[in-house]
Amino acid sequence: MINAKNIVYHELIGLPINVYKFNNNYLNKTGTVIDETKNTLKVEIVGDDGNVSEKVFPKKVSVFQFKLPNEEFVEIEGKILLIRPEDRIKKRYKKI
Amino acid sequence: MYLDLNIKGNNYDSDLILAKEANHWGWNHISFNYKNNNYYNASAYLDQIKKNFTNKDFTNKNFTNKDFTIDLRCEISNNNCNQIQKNIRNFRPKTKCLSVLGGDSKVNRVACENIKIDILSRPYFKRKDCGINHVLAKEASENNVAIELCFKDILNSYLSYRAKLLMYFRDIINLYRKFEFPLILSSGASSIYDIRNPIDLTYFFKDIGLKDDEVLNSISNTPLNILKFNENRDNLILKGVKKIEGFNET
Repeated sequence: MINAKNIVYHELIGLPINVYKFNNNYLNKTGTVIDETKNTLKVEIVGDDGNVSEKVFPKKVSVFQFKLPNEEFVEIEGKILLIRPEDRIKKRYKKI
Repeated sequence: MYLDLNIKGNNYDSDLILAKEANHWGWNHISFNYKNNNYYNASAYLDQIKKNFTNKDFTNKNFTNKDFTIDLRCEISNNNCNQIQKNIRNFRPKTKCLSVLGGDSKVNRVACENIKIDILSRPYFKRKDCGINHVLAKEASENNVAIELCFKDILNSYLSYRAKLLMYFRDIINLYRKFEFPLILSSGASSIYDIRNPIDLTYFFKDIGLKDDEVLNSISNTPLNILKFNENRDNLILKGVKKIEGFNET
């Protein structure tokens, strides 16, 4: 089960996301993750007028906030996700 | 806002006198520095010292800061690296500020490489160089470990030893400019005669070669960031991952 402790090893596609910061500026674009590559996340965003658009955000300069199925919210710096999604399970992260 | 994270703590009476003196000279926050062996004893009487600052005797003075805060800092001093790792695991959840006393080259390296440590204190201690090189400086900036320079070392030394210490300080400042690790300036006072006005301290370090904004960062912003970061440490899961309460709206 996906939770705050194992989210960096887990699949991100399908999770509700808020792109909180972009290039150190506040952005706050909310949507759903629909695709992931080594350097980018593709997000489906529904506008105020109901139009659906897809936007690609680079991981390196962004801060993402995810809503998990167990109603937890997690904030992740995009820098630590800079790896192919299938290889992310192998990576070792520093515990604070 | 001026913060001194290194005032040497001994017992209840001397701590109270030092806190009064620091408050009188315009410091906004002080942390009593206790070795890991005595840390638990000190935390028992910290609340009593805090209560004493609500008395009218202190708040009537002209120089007193009414928003004066006191805290404890745990300093690990050991030459055995494995023992240091054990102490870090033991004391990290119990204190807001964790530091390691430097000096030995292996200890300096362990402290700079460990992300759980906040401060590497006096890396030049009992050495014939500054204790930090380009490798350690890079590690310190990656792991956000602050390097501390102590004013007491200059105050209580004489002649050639003092000149060498000034040279070590300049070496550390040069590395700080290149690698941008956090730098902290503190008094290290163990008696009331070692406590100086924060403005005196800033002018001394300006003479050594620091610029205005660098001194201000290292005497107020960097210590404040360390304390704020450690308040939210429970919500941090990994480096760069933390729990929040909801999507932020700004």
